[in-house]
Amino acid sequence: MENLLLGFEIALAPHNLLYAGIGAILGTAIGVLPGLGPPATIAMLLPISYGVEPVSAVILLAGIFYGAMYGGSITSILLNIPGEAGSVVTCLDGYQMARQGRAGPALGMSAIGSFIAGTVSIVGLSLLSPLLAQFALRFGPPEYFSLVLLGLYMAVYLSHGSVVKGLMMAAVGLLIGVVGLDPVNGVPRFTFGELRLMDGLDFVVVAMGLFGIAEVLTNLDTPEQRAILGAKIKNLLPTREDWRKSWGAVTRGSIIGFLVGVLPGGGATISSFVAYGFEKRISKHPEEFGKGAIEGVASPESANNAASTSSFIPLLTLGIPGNASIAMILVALMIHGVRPGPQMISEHPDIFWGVVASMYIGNLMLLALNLPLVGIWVKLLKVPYHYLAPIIVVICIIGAYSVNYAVFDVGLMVFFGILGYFMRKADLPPAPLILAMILGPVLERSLQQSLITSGGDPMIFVQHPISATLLAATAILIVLPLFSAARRFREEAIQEES
Amino acid sequence: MTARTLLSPTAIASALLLIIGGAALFGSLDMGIGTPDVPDAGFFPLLASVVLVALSVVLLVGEFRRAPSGEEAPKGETLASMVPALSAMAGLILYIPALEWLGFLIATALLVAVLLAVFGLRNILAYVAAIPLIAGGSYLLFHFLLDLPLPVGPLGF
Repeated sequence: MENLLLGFEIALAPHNLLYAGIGAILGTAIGVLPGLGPPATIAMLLPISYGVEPVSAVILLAGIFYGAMYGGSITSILLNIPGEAGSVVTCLDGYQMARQGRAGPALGMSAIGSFIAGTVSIVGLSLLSPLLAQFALRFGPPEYFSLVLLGLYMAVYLSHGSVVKGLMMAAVGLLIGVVGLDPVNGVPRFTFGELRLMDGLDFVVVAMGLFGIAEVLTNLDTPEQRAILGAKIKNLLPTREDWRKSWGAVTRGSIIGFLVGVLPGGGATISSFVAYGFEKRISKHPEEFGKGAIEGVASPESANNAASTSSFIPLLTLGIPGNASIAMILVALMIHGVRPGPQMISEHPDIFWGVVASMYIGNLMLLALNLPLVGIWVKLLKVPYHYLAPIIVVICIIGAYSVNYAVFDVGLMVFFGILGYFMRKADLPPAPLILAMILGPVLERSLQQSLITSGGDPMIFVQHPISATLLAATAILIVLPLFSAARRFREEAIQEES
Repeated sequence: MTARTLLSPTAIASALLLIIGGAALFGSLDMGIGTPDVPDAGFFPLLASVVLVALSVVLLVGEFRRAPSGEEAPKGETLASMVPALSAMAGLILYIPALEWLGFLIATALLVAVLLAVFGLRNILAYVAAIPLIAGGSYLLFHFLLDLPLPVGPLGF
């Protein structure tokens, strides 16, 4: 309680309130705008965070992250285009409600549900994080190696698309992460004699290329189609009947979102799908889902917001980011010399509790601002992308340049932007690459330390119980799909025979 | 196996990643991998490149097996649909030397002109107004207000 009060003292400082407000509004704006996601925006704003104190930087970036979840639902409801991946499911019932003239209650329930879920998740984060951090103090190099391995694999496993492709991108990320001088032996690795690569590839430059520039390039392939529903948005507050139908969905969505968000790789998108599916399964009127059921908006919107908040738990307590946006917040902390992990709560209580408290305040700000500002967000939707795209590119260029004041970094960003474009064409996900690039040094260090301690005996990873459990979990995740693939293959063969 | 399978984005990507993985593997061996109890600089990159090579082979083989089993290979992109993106890429690539030679303001104005065109802004008045607004606005904001030393060209800006 004392710590939380300290957090509020920090978060309520005028400059931090300002950062929380800017983050929440900026996050909502980018959530509203299709074609610009939180990772790209956070990457673009990372250089700005250099100049502010770490707690303010994280408050700003975290605000963008959870603000985007609020904003994403607006486009889902009004345009049938998800502003964020986490709002895909909201399109199903939200847009149908809007077509029936009930855009107001859909937006209202989405905002209120998000606020409740965010608050539930923040309480969970405040309670669970210290316990998890305490437990993680037992971790040595073998445990960290196994944990990072599990975290990386789960991030790939739970993301949509091919697991093989995700793992390939993780391997590429590990290789990109080793570029530069080897920290132990001082041997240059994959620098090709280029002095400017000796310090390694800057994460900000790679992220801005893979997310910012690549997104702009990809958007060129799909002609802009935005048909905003013309009717005036009224009655934002849900009716008593809407509440009766939704309170259970909000509660369940909050719990599911919180639990899924804690898992590495389990972010807003998965949680919203799981919550929607669960709500539909237990509903007495499943046939109404997809036709404008308010529970179909309340449940996924609550889940994605709860997950966004709880996904901070593995970062703040274990130092393991579960998704690309959180990975960038990790980098913001590292830039300021703060390494998230089990020690963070005791070593930097101001940052930990300041960020937690700012989430309470940010959520309240989002609720207070978003409903009255819905008209502005609708106007923002009308800004054509041909004006936004050059602005995004110019901000990325300035951001990349400002890392080392070097045109070379702008060139690297363009290279990764073009690479990211072709990766998207081949369905190669960029998120595992970014996560692996960040976690690679931790993985390598813990592997080396473990092997040196054990005299080169790899059995050290199974002799330590926590490490063995984590490795077993990874193995189960790898083996399970093989069994289901084998079963499917067998069933197909039997079908063909008969 | 059809030409279309060979040219599917997945097949091309996995072949390229196989080459990159192979190169990284040999590069890692070159650095020296040491022994398990004293790993050298190439030890960890070797593990990553082995994983990359193995998975690239799995993906490539899977892609080749798709055609004989009657499954249709994923649709490849037509070059025509990629022309706007390729034009923007050309603009971005040329921007790098332009940034060094011409400075931020002029190079960015040229890049913005290219991007506005490829994104389909056809209103001439808006086009002419947007270029100095975006390039000049960002220069004013970052160079003067935020004191960021952006590259300057022969004209001093």
